Parts: sequence; C-alpha cells; structure tokens
Amino acid sequence: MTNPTAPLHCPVCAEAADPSHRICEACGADLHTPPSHRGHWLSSAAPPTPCTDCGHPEFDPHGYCRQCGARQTRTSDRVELDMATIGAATDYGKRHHYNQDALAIGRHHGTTVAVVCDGVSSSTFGELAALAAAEAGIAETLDALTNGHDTGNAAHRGVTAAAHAAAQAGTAHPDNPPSCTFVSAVVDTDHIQLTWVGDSRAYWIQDGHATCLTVDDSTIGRLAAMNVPADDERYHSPYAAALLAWLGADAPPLEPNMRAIAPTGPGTLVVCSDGLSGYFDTDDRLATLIGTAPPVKAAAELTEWAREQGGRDNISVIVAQFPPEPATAPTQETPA
Amino acid sequence: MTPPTGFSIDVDHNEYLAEGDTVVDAVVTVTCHTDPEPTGTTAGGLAQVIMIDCSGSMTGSRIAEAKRATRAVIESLPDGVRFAVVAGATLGTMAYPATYTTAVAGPQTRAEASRAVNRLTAGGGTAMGTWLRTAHRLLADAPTEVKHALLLTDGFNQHESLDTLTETLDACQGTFVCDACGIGKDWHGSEIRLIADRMLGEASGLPEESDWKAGFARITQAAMRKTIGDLTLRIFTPARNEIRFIKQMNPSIVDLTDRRREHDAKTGDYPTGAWGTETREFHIQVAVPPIRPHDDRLAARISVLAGTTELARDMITARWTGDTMLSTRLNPKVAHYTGQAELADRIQEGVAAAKAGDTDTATLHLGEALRLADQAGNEHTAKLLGRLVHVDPDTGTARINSHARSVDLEMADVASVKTVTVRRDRRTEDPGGDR
Ligand SMILES: [Zn+2]
Repeated sequence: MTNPTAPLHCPVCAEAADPSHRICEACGADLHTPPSHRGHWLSSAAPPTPCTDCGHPEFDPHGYCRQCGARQTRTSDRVELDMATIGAATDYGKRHHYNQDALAIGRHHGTTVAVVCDGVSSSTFGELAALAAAEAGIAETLDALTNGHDTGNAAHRGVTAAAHAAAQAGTAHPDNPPSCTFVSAVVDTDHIQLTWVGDSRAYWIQDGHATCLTVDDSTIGRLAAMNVPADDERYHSPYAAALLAWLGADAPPLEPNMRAIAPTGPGTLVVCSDGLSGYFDTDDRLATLIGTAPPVKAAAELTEWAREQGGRDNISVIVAQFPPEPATAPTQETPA
Repeated sequence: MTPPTGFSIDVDHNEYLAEGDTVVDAVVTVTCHTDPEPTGTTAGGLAQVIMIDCSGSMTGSRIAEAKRATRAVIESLPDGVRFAVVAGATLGTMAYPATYTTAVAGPQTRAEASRAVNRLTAGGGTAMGTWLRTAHRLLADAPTEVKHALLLTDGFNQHESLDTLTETLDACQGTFVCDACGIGKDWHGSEIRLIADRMLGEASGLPEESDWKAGFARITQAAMRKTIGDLTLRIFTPARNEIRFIKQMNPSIVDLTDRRREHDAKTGDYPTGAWGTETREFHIQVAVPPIRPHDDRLAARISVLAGTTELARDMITARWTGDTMLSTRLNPKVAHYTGQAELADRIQEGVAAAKAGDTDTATLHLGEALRLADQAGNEHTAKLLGRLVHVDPDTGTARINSHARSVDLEMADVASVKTVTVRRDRRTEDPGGDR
C-alpha cells in the first residue's frame, strides 16, 4: 500500500506528486492505482460527447447518431498526449475531413510503448480499424509486460491483438472492410523493440542523424531496403506503392515485421504515419527538425511542420526518449 | 420452416454530395445464396392454388386446352404439396377439392383433381375479385410456409368494378403471393399487372394456346422453388430523413413505397413476398437534411428479415465533398434502374395512348421505349416492342405498325415491368479512395 506521507511518483509519467492528490497534475493519471495494475495508456480516441447536431447521446457502432444520423468520428481530429518521456500528437491535416489515424502511448514501470495506426482511406471507415488496433495493441502489450513477458514477446502479442481487433471492426463491411497499418515500439532501458505491418514508420535519432528503422510493406519499400538502384523499372510499376500487408478483415495472414535495436547511447525515437514521413526528402531531414523540446512538444512541432508542408494526409507522431527513464524517477516496483 | 442463412446485402450508391444536396439514391442488392431444392424438401412447405378462367369466353378449344394444361400441372405436383383448383367466372367456385380447403398431393388426390378439372365447363362472366377471395379463404388456413396462387384469365374484369378488385387485393395482401397470367388475346395487361403488383407476384401473358401447357408448368414450377414465405426489408431512417420511394427493380418493378408498415418512429417494414435462391435489386431514394461542409450522415440502414430474424444488414451513407467530379458522378446501377423505370413508364403510356387512338403520343413513347430497351439490353421487351413500332435505322424516325394485334399491346404492357440487370460491360470500377 502507498504510505500517504511518503514521497509519491506518478505510476504513469513518473513525475513527483503530492500524495494527498488523487490525480497526477502532470498527466492526469490515477495516483493511487495498485502496483499490480497493467500499466497506463492514453489514446487519440475522441472523448464521448452528445451529438453536435441534435444532442442525442447514443451512436451506432459506426458513429452515426441514433436520432439524426449525423456522424461523430471516434478518433480525435487533433490531440496531444503527454506521458513525460513519451509524447504524441495527431492532426487530421488540411485535405481530409477527419482523422483516420489513431495512436496510443503507454507505460509500464520503466518501459514505454508507442503505437501508431493509419486507417487506409480506400477502405470503409479505416479509422475504426485504426483506433481498435491501436487500443488493443497497446493494452495487450502492456498486459503482457505486466505478466512478465519480455519486450519481443509482449510486442508480438500486441500486434496479434491489434490484428484481431482491426478484423472485428470490419464485420459490417464484408466487401470493403476497414483496414489500417500498424507500428509499435516498446522502449526499455537497453532496447527498442519495433513491430510493424504496412508503411507507418519508426526513426532513430542520435548525434544529429536520423535513420529509418522500418521497411515499408510495399514493393518500393522492399526494393529500397535491398538497395536496388533508383532507376530499376520495378519502382515504377503501377502498384509499386500499394501496401502488401495491413490489418483488417481482408488482410493477408499476419506476418509482422519485428526488429530490436540496442542503441549505443541516448537518443530519440520517432514513430509516425506517412502524413509526416511522406514529407522527408532524406531521413536526416527529421534530425534537423527535432530539437531538444520535451517529447509531447516535439511531437506537436513535427505535426505542425507536416501541416505547413501541405498536410495532404492525416499526421500522427509519437516521440519517445531513450532511455525512457527520467534521471530522477524511482520505480514503484513491489516485489512479487 | 427454419429461415435460411446465406443472405447478403450490397449497396451501390454515390455517397458524395455537394453542399445543399438532399437526395441520396441507392440500389440495394439482396441475395439468398441457399442451395435450391426444387421439390422434395420444400414440398411440405408449399400450398398452391390455381384459378382457371371458366367464363363464357373460354368456350370451345380454349377451355379444352386450359383443362389439358391444368391437368398437366396437377400431375406434376410432388407428393405433400397442398393444392386446390378454383373455377373462375362471375364467382370463384371450388373445382377441387369440393370443400373450401387445400388437398395434399398424392396419387389419389391428383387423380381426383384431374377428373374434377375435366368436368369444368365454360360459362358466365368475369369477376376476378371473387376468385381471389376464394383463394384467400383457402390459403389463409393453409399450414404452409409458402402460399402461392396463380390467376389465369382470358378476359378483362368486366363484371366487377375496379374498386371492388382493388379492395379485394388490399384484403388479400400479405396472405399469399399471386402470379397473374393473361391467356388468349382478350385480357388487359394493366389488370394483370395490377394483380401481380399488389400480390407481389409475376405478371405474364400467354396469347397462344399451344404455349399454355409449358407456360402453366413454368409458373407453378417457379413457385416450388420458393422456400421463404415472406421476406421483409426493414429500413431505419434518422429522424430528419424521408424515404421518397422504395421500388423493387429486378427481376420486375414493384413499387413498395405505400406498403410500409411502421415498426417504430424511425423504422418501417416493407414486404417483398416469397423467396427462393435468387437475387433481387431495390432502388431506394432518401431525402436527407441539406448537406453542409464536412457532413457525414447516415441516410438509411437496411436489413432483411424472415419473420423477426435479421438475416443481413447494410447502410446507405451520405457525405459532403467539395469535388464536383465526385458529387455529380452517377452510380452505374442507379443510372441503369432509373433508365429501366423510364422504359416501363414509356411503354405503359405508349400502350395507353395507342389503345385510346392517340397515334402521335403512342409513336413518341413506344419509339423512345424501343431505343431505351435496345440500349439497356432488354432483349425480350425490345422484341415485343418491335411488333408495335418500327424505327428507321438511318433517320431514327419511329412509325407505329398498323398491323400489330391488340394482344401485342397487352403483351408489351405486361412486359413493361420486367427488367434486366446492369450489363457487365457497362459496369465501371469503383474509384475507391485517395490512397
Ligand atoms: Zn444527432
């Protein structure tokens, strides 16, 4: 049990907190959650509100008001999420009517988790798949970490849960079910575990250089990863940019890409949708954009930069510090 | 009977509207995929009543041929099917069985029924409402899933008012499905259509006596392939939306708009009659509040029900676009069935004008109908129209064929509600999204 007079640190963002408070002033998390809790996470889901057209409180599973039929998107148009050493921002951009991206960030003790899903806009209600996948993915990953799984195992369980949730989101649309991409990062003190399906990306930034850690699931992405020269005609085939893998009811069998890296020193991880990465001429472009701002601020700045470049797609960015542990943060670990 | 699974709904529509637009058109395709069992398993689930015209005009070879064709149908009834034969004249009287009930088909009842049909004679007038009331009495009590009737008439309803007929049709609606077929050359296509439309059956015509046997068999065999007595389309529309119309468009046009039964304040049920393994298409037009920028609205949610069991559902949506390329694009299926509805109107107006002696109006409508039928691939309709009107291939000028028989007009009238599905080669690829 928490001793009310002892110094308290938020179990979510690790900020020092006043023990007499119920909620962390830094991130809003419940301060007195038992230590066995399965970790905390936040997502870009829109908070439930009554219909903006008629005030009716109920919506059908696709988000249409049960009274007047106006649709309320279940993803936030724009939102920033802050968990101190990991922060996120998403924005629906300038061309789209609403946000078909979804993201989630979470923490279990000293490990942070990032998930970005990009709803495929040629599918029906891609954001339903994206949100379902992002939330199921982060919840399952944190759950697995709580149950003692290593980060690779937890990440694999997360993407499996995300794939299932995305497929479930499509039951009402057998012809053109909602689908989405998926990228997750599990960041602990030694490693970064990356898991992805589709063309959402992760970048590592250290010492002024940025490197893309993921390989897009497309013909172009795979050719480039094999260092095939740019003049190869396969880059120009009509379907070269088309996704070869995604999550959803009509997805090919799940074969997530998985990669773990062990950074040689402190740095920054950026996980994002192509609404941001689509504007990079080179990977190092990202290194010039990212400053020393705290993660949530950095994520918001990158999102704004993508809007300034045209904002032709939804933009989702998560910035995570490596190592994730703030220097002063004690753990709340209770011996099992 | 357990409702079959294997149902699907597909919605074809252009969901993109410009600011201020209020109308959403959708073609809803409903398919029952269940394997057909033409006889056998469904036999116990079917009751079939044949109403055969025995009025004075049937005297001579006609009654003899009608009896022969009816006997052939009776002989082909599988064991277990419930059936009855009504002799239609000024009154609808029982030909078989003797009492107001349906018999169960078997070697003995088939033989008895054939002998009873043989004893029929022609005489008296034509009051089809009385025939339908008799069928209604028989079928209301029949303990079967599918209740089907076939009305065969060689004349028009001259001994009963139109009001009486329509009142009778209203009373019979929902109890059974009735096909209507004009036999010989003196019936009115508009009456055949009226009966079939109200009773959710098929309208047809068999002018030549030599076709009767095969024709009767075809219609009754089609009924045996039905396994579900009544399938309902349930449509939910949000509070400010309005269903302008809902019409079955394929295989034939049936306007269901006025057939709505309120389920609750926002939900209405529309009966579609008996179903077998088949596909039907419906055109639904919904008015929504004027679209504003960034609107994304539900126009309607459609489900298919057998009894109270929902078999499939889908929805019709409407969303704003600032791109006029998107908002002005016609969905190919919506365009096709809009054309099929115009074809039907042109034929019916042209036939009515021709019968009223207004050759100019008849020429205009029938000539345009022939052009539409050729264009959309309504081969059967085009063939029937070709007997009524000639179109000069070079000048496009239409001319009424003065030698056309009056029954050719009635045949075209009956065929006006028969539609074809959209041609494969006219389908365009759905443009999808912007990824
Ligand atoms: Zn509302």
